[in-house]
Amino acid sequence: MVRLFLLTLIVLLATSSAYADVNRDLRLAASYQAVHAQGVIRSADITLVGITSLFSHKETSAINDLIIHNSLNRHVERVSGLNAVFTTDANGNLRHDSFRYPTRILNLKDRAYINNALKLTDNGLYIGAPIKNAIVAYDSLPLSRPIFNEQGHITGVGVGIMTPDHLLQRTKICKKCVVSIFKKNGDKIVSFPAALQAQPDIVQFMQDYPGDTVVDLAIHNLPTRTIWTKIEGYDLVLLYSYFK
Amino acid sequence: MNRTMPFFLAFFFSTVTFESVWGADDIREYAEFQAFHVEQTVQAIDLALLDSSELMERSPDSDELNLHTTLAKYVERTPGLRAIIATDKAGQLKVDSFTYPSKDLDLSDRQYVKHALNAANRDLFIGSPLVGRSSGAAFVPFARALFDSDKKVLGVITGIIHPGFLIKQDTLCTQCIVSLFNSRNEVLVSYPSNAHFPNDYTAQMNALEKGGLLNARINDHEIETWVIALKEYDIRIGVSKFRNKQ
Repeated sequence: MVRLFLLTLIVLLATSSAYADVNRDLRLAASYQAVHAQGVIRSADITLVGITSLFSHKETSAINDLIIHNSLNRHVERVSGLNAVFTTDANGNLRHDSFRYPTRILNLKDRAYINNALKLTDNGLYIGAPIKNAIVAYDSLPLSRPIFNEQGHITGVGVGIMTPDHLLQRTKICKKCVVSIFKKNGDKIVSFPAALQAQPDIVQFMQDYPGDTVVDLAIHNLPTRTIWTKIEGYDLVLLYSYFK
Repeated sequence: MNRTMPFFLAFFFSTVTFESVWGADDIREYAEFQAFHVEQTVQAIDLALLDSSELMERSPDSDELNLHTTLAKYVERTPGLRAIIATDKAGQLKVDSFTYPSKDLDLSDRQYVKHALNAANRDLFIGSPLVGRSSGAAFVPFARALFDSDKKVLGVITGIIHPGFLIKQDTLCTQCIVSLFNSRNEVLVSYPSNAHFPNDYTAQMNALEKGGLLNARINDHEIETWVIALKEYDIRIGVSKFRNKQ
């Protein structure tokens, strides 16, 4: 009888400890990815502060376009995942572009990242939805913020284009795990694996469960332990699931 | 009774082994997470200061209000950064993201200003933790020299950092202590905030150049610490747990 009791106790202890370990590991793994994503977006955000500030001063208009193009490229090289930066005037006309020199004649007024940046009234950042590249169809994530002149009027928009895959640190994702980053309105920014479809409706999930809490959740009838967490400073959330 | 003894022993040793293995793994994982958080936070501050320094170097004679406004935008978007200030080559305060117009203040006696003014490159210097003379709040200065196009020193740009942002307090093992040290064995920040470490302990931490597990004693209590070194910024991060704690 005593032996049976001890055996049961050992099994119970091992099971509850393993369960606690999975919860701890999952919280840490989700927090790690959230800190990584925040760091990548923060770097692009800070870069756009510099670029929009540069074009807010009227002296900048006197600088040679090629010098500006080279300067924009130096900013791009500093930030992991940032592919290009460019600016437009208040009518959406492309003015300076890190990607091509001389700058193409192009009007971008119909783009959501231009329209939404023009509506911002402060030092905020607009994070768009991923756009398919026109040539090889990979996703690009636009980030934008308005350019204010010295009188506080909007004179244009500064835009950064990122590859959203960089927001996830893939080598740190466990083998039986799937991860996605969403805007709080439910738009998916990126996931790993990239073709992942099977995750819950994030908006509903956030309403049903508090953040940073590991919950048992069936995804397509497969049992998982799932957690969501905020990406601090931005309207983004990260969803991390471990298939049991 | 004799036949139950092996079960008692198995139970006892499995519990003890589990606790000790779990303890070391636990602090290691949390240390790695805290170190990653520190690295990301410092990188963002470094980038904001680099961009700001280019602005100052490009147009050192710009209108102070424009510079003040731009520096304030960097501060607003960079967690942990409380203010950015810039001095001329004599250490006189010229621009302050917090106050416009900037105060008439001579900062030439500050360690971080002196160090940056004598620097031969734009490396980031992480100064000693200080308490603001007017605010009374703790801060850590991150300073970098400003150069003109002929590589002559123009002044110093400094980020005033709220050190609490370097630790992610809500992601830490129960009853663990996290601490950040610079290469001069000074505590940049710790959680709990009033944790005090004897000099020999911090020296042992810094002696672990590649990081790893440190077993030490503080006031006759055994403490195990997982140390991670961020070489780029010369910062060491330790997550510690007293041996009798789980």
